[in-house]
Amino acid sequence: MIEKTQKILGAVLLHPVSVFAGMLLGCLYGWIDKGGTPLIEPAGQVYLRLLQMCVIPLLFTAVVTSLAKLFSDGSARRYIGRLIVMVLLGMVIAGSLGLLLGEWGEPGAELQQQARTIIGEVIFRAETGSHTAAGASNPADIVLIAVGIVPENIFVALSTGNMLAILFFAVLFGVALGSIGKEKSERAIVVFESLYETFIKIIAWLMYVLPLGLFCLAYSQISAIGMPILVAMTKLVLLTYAGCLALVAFSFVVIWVRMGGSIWKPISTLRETIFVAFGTSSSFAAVPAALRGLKDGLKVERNVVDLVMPLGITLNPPGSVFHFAIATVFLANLYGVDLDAGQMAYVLVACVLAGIAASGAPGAAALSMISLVLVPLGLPVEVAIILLVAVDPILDPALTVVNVQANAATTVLLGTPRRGASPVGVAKAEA
Amino acid sequence: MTALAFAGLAKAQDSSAAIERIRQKGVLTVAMFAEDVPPFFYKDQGGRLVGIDPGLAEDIASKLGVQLVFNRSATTFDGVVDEVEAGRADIAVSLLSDTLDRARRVNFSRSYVSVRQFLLINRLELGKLIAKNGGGRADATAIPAMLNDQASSIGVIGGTSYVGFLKEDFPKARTVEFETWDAMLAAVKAGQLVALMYDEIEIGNWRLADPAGSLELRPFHLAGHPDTIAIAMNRNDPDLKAWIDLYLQKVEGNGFLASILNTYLYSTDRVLTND
Repeated sequence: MIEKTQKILGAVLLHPVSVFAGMLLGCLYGWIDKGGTPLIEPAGQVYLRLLQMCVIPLLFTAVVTSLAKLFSDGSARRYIGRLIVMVLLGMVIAGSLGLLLGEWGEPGAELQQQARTIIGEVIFRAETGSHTAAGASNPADIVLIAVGIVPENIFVALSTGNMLAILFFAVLFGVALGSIGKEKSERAIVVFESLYETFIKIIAWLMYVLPLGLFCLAYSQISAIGMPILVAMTKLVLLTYAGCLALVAFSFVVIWVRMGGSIWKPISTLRETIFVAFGTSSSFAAVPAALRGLKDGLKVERNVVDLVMPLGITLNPPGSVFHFAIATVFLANLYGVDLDAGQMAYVLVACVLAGIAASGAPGAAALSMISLVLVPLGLPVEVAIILLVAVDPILDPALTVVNVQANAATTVLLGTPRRGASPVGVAKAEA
Repeated sequence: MTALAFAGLAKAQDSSAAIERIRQKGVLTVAMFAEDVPPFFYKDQGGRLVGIDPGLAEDIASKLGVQLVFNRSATTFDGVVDEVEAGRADIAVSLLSDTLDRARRVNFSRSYVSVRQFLLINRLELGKLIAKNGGGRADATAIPAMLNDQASSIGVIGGTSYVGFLKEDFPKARTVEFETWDAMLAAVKAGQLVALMYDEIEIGNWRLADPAGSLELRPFHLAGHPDTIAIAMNRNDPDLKAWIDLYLQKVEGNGFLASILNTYLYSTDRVLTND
């Protein structure tokens, strides 16, 4: 009886309609209530923290286990070159789409006086109201970021959540574990695998509360959106959403072409990942769902999923690259600056670099990486950051979905045999 | 020796006569800049002259027991000083900076308020400067250092204390003097100037008049450069200076000055930075 009830409850709570309904109701209530109910926001934060609680150990054990296995059987070399090419290609596609949409839609050109007034007020209030915005306007120091990738103390990096440093250590640890010989590494790999499965189990339990969690998170997100600035920057918001939709659709087509079968299969398998990414605006929170979807639903090679997804989420943010590209054109429009072909090429390269730098930075600091693109163009960084922070609550969910989905597509490209081809590496890796 | 002593006595008698002279006239003539500069002096909706300076002037006249008359003939702030120096006004209460240059011509009371010096920077021109300097920080010390360059043109209103402040703060930059605020604002908006320099009062007025303006222009507080404002009086009227200093000390103590400043200057819509 209890088992039956659990099954029914699970079927209801994990159903996409429940998850979607939770998010939609959260949006609607947030819109009407405007943050008036005090307990909803903390409840959403608790849920987000629960999801994120397991992310660092999960990523660490996933990367270590997969690399150790791939290196111990010698199949790792096959992936590295392809992975780098695909990641770079993905970011160049996203950045190019951002530039194209920006050039076509001109989101910052010919704004109405009312919109300019609203934007002016937002900038003024941000500059006078807090020192954070002014502080964030300082250009990102790429050398400091590069130095920070190597952790001085891995336990400090783990406790402070320095993702790039943790990933650097995990890669090194995994490669070393895979290189010490199977006899010595086997038991350690089993331990890491058990830990990994344990974290996945915790996340699986948390998925039962997803509709409620998304209700709370969507409520907070909607309450945080400043409507006047959203209206003033409508064109940028709409173009960004259109671009995100195109990139997500493109990634599904890539998965479909690679795997064959029905286009609906990847969509239905990865829907939970998309909901979590959109609802939490956190790529990391969506990783466990993505790992499960890719491995259990799409049957992508396990070691590739456990390696590429965590690496990609940390180092491959095509959503951020797209965002920086379209935001740069927006700002150039706003100040009547025409970008020539050479400057466009520069923007594309700089957006890729800024995107990578942003992937390791938290919150608003990630947005400040746009300074890497704007400073050499002579465009005002402080205005860009203030405006991007102002519309971040509405754009971040869509950009997070792009980041997660693009990495899922990269994982499928690397970990699934081409249609008609023999399953390369799977047998070896799983042996 | 005796002649010198007599001359000194005569001068002291003249000097001590200022308050008596005003009381006998029954009128206190106060010099004030011709144009309105809210919130220091401006006409309200009923056409009445209001603000910090008329408020103080009215109170001073009432404490002296005389009528108040404004002399608003001066079209520059240095011209306001001229009115007092020439004896065409008893005092000047007119958002007057107590600069050392002016203090050679008139006496200044203790300062009754300090306004902050501001730059209003063209954001795009600043962006070009930052790019030219290879990026780097755009903070309180870096921006003034970047602007202090031969290639920078900075605007200032002629006949104001800011001509001196600008030369002092940015000795390498090119000073461009303007007759009117509107012409100077248009030049900085057009990118002919990288910045203009003035007090927080005018910058605050610009902000209220042009809320969209923050998109193009960035107010920037020049930290550590207070512009102290004082009342000017003729150098031959030391008794008046002593009396006005005492008056200001008392209104600071009894809260009248704070109340008038809070009413006009520190209302929330005028605050430029919270530093």
